[in-house]
Amino acid sequence: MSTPMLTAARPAATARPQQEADWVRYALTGAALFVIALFLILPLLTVLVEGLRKGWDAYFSALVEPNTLSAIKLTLIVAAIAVPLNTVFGVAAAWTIARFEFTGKNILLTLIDLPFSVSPVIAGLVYVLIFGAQGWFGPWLMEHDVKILFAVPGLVLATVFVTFPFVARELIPLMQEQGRDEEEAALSLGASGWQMFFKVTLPNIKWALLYGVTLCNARAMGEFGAVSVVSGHIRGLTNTLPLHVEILYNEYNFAASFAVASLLALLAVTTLIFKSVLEWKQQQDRRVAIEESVQ
Amino acid sequence: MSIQVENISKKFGDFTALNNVSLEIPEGELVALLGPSGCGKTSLLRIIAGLEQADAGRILLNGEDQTSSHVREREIGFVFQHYALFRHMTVFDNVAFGLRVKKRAERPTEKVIKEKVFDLLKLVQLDWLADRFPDQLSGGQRQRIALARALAVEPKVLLLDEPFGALDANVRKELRRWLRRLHDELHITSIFVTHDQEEAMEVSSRIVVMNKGVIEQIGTPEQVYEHPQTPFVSRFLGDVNIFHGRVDQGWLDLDGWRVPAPAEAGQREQVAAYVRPHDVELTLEAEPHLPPATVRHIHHAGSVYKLELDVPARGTDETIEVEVSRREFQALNVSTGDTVYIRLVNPRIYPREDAAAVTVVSEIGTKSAQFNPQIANGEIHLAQKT
Amino acid sequence: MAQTNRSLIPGFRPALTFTIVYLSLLVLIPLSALLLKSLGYGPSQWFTLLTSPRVLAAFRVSLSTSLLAAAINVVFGLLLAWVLVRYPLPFKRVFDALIDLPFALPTAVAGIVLTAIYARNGWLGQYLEPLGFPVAFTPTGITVALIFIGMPFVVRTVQPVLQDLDPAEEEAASSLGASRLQVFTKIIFPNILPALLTGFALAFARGIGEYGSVIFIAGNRPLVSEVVPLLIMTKLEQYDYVGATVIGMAMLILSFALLLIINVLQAWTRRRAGAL
Repeated sequence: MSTPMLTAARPAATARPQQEADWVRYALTGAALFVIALFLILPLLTVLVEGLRKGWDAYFSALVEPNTLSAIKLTLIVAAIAVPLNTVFGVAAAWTIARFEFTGKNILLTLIDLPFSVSPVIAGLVYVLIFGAQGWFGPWLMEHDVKILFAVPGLVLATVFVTFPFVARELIPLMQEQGRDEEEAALSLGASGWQMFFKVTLPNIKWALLYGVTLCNARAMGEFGAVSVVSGHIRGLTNTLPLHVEILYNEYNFAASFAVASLLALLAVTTLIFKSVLEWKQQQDRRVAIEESVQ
Repeated sequence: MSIQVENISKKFGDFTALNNVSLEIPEGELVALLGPSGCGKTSLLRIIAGLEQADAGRILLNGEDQTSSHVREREIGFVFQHYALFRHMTVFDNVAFGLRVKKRAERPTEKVIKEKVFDLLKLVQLDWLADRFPDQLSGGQRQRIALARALAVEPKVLLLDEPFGALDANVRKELRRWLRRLHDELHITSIFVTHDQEEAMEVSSRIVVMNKGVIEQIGTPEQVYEHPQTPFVSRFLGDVNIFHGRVDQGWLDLDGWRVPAPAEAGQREQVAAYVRPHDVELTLEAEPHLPPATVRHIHHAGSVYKLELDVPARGTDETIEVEVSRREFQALNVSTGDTVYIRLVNPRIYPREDAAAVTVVSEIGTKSAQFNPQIANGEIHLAQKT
Repeated sequence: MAQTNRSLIPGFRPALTFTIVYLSLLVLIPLSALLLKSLGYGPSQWFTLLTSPRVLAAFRVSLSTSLLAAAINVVFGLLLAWVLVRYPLPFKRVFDALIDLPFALPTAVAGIVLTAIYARNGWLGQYLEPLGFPVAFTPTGITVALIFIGMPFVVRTVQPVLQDLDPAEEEAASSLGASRLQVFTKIIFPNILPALLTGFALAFARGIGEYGSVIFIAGNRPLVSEVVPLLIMTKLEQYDYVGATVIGMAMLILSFALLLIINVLQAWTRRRAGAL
C-alpha cells in the first residue's frame, strides 16, 4: 500500500510547522522544570525535612504542646467566623456586579480588589488607629472594658479585611459569562426569587463558590502580617498558627517551628489538590457531555 | 389571550430602542416581529413578557393592564434565543421546573408532573431524551425542549426570541413547519422575533415589520410583500431595483421612459420607484417607450434565472437585476451581450426623501445586500432634471 | 447608586446595600481613619518623617527589591506559562497546581523555609556564601522571597491569554515566510504584552506590601535590609503612631496608584483579547 509510504516520506518539519526546534523546546522545558524545582518543590521538601530533623517524637510533641493546640483552636475560630462572612459578602457582591448595571460599578470592583494591593501590615494598622489606645474608639472601649485589639475580634477583623475578595473574585467572571438567561427563564416559569437562587443560580456556581471558599479559608488560616499587628502575641490567647510559627522560630526552636509550619503547608497542599480536583471535575463533566452529544 | 401594546417607549442610555410603539394582537394569532438587528423587536418582546420595563406606555393582556406586573404573574411562556436551559438539570427536570416551583397549594403531585412532562416531551417528540442533560442535546433538540418547558405552565401567550436563529439551515426549515403545526394544534397566541423575512413569511399569519424603534407596517405576509407601505419594507422583504424620476398624470416618467403608475401615486417631482426583480419583464422585440438593455451576466439560481442588465442612459451604464422563471428564460433564449427591452410592472413609488433614508440601513436588509452596487452614489440615475 | 436599567432579577437593593455596608465598615471607614489621622500631622512633620534616612532607605529597599523581583518574575512567569501551555510534559497537572503554592502557603511558612534554604548553613546557602554570593539577610534574600511570592501572578495572567491565542494567526505568519523567532516577536509577544505587564504590576504591588515571607530572610538591618512594612511594624511596637500612620499613608497612596495602573492594564488586556 502506498499510504504508509507517503506518511513516512513526509518530512517532520512540515508536519508540525508551528513547533520550535527540538533543542529550544528541551532547553525551555528544562529551564521551566528548574524554576519549579528550585522555587516550588524545594521549599515544600524543606518544611518536611526541617520539621522532622529531631525525629518523629519531637515532631509530634511539638504539635500536641498546649500552646500549639490553643493556636490551632484560635486559628479555627477565626476562620470559622471570617470565612462564612466573606462567603455571604462574595455572593452578594458578585450578584450585584454580574447581574445588574449601575453607576459606580467600576468603583465597587476596584474596592473589592483593594486587599490585593494593600499591604497586610496596613490592614492591621488601620484597626489599631480605630480601636487602639490612641485610636478613635480606644478610650471608650477601655472604659466599657471591651477588648477588640489584642483579642479575637481584632484578629477576625484583620483576617476578614485581607481575605474578603477571594469568593467574589472567583464568582464574578463566571457569573458574568453565564449571563442571566437561565435566571430569567426560571422567573418566567413562575419561580420566586429564592427558588431561582437555590434551584438555578447556586447549582451553576457551586464549584467556583466552593473553590473561592477554599482559597479564602487557606488565606484566613495562614494570614500573618495583618494578624501580627493586631494580635499582641499573647501566647495561648491571641496566637494563631502562623504567629506561633514565628514565635517558635524567634526562640530558635526551629524543629518545633517547622513542625507547626508543616501543618500549614499541609493546608496549602490540600487546598491545591482540592483546586485541581474541582477543575478536573468540571473539565470531565464537559468532556463527557461533548462526547455524548457527538454520538 | 389578546395582547395590546400602547405607546411603548424604551431607551438604553442614548439609544432609543422603541419609540411610541402601539400594536394589537388578537387571540390565537401567530405573529412575527420582523426587522434588522437593533430595530427594537427583541426589546418589545421582552417588554411584553415583563422581562424588561418600558419607560412609557402600557401593556394590556386580555384587556387588563399588566404594565407593572411581574413576569411570574403574566402567564406567558418565553423561549429564549439561546434556550437558557438549566444546564445542571436533566431534560425532564427542566420541563418540570415551572410545575415544581408552584406554591404548595397549586403544585401538582409528582405523579401528575411526570405524566404532564412526558405528554409535553411526546408533543415535541423527544420523550426518549428525558434523562439527558442540555449539553448532550443538539441545537434543534434544545430548542424543542425549551419550548416544552415554556408550555408546561400552560401559558396564555407564547413568546419566542429568534427561535431558529442559532440552528442549521435544514433543522431550521423543519422546525419552522413544526412550529406552524404546533400552533395550529394549540391555538395559543404567539409572537416570535426574527430578522429573516423568509422565516416570517413562512411561519406567521401576520408580520409586524420594525425599523429603528418604530413599526413600519403590519399585515399578512402577502400584504407586506405585495403592498409595502414604506421604502424600508420594500427593501427588507426581498430585492428591489430603484429608479429615480417623477410622476405625472398617472405616468411614471424616468428620463422620458414612461411607465404606468398606480393611481395613488399622484403628481410629484423627485420620486423613487422600487421594482422587484421579478416585476421586470423582458421582450426581444423593440416596442415604443421600452428602453433597450444589454445582458451582462446570467446566473442560474435553481428554479429561476437571474440576469444582470446594463441600462445605458445619459451616457452612464447602470445595472439592474431581473429574475425570470425557467420557462420564460428558455423562451427568451438570450445570452450574454444580447439586447433586450425592459418593461416595469407594479412599481412602488415613494417620495425621494423617504427613499434616500433607506440607504442607511441597506446593508442590513438580508437579500438586497447582494445587489446594491450603485447605493454609494445615489441609486440608478435614469431621471432627467427638468 | 441606582440601576441604570431596571432589571426584573430580584435582589439588587439588598445585595448592593449589604455589599456597600460591608465594604464601608471593613474597608472605607478604616482607611479613612488612616487618611484623617495622617492629615492631622502638618507638612513639616510629614517631610521630616519621610526624609529621615531610615525611612528613605526602607523605601529604597522595598521598591528596588520589588521591581527586580517583578522583572525576574516576568521572565520566569512567561517561561512557565509557555511550557505549561505549549509543550508536552509528564505530571503537567501536578506542576500546574504547584504554581499556586505561593498563593496558598502562609507567608510565615514561606519566610522560614526560604531562610532555611538560603541561610549560611542552609541547603543552598552553604554553597552560595563561599562563592561570595550571600543571599539570606541581604536585599538579595528579600528579592528571592518576592520572586517566590510573585511568581503565580505573572503565570496566571499570561497563561489564559497564551491558551486563547488563535493558532491560525501564527500559521498565517509562517505561511507568509516569518521564522519561528519572528512569529514570536511579531505575533505572540504583542498579544501577550498587556498580560505580562499586568502580571508585572500585580507582582510589584504585592511585593511592596509583603511582610511575612520577607522579614525572616531579610535580616532587617536598618538602612540595609529593612522593608517598609517592617518599619511600620517597628514604629507601632515603639508606640510611634505618628510615624506608623504617615509611612502607612504614603504606602497606601502608592498602592492606589498601582491599583489604578493595574486597572488600566487589565482593561487593555481585555480589549486586546476582545479584538482577537
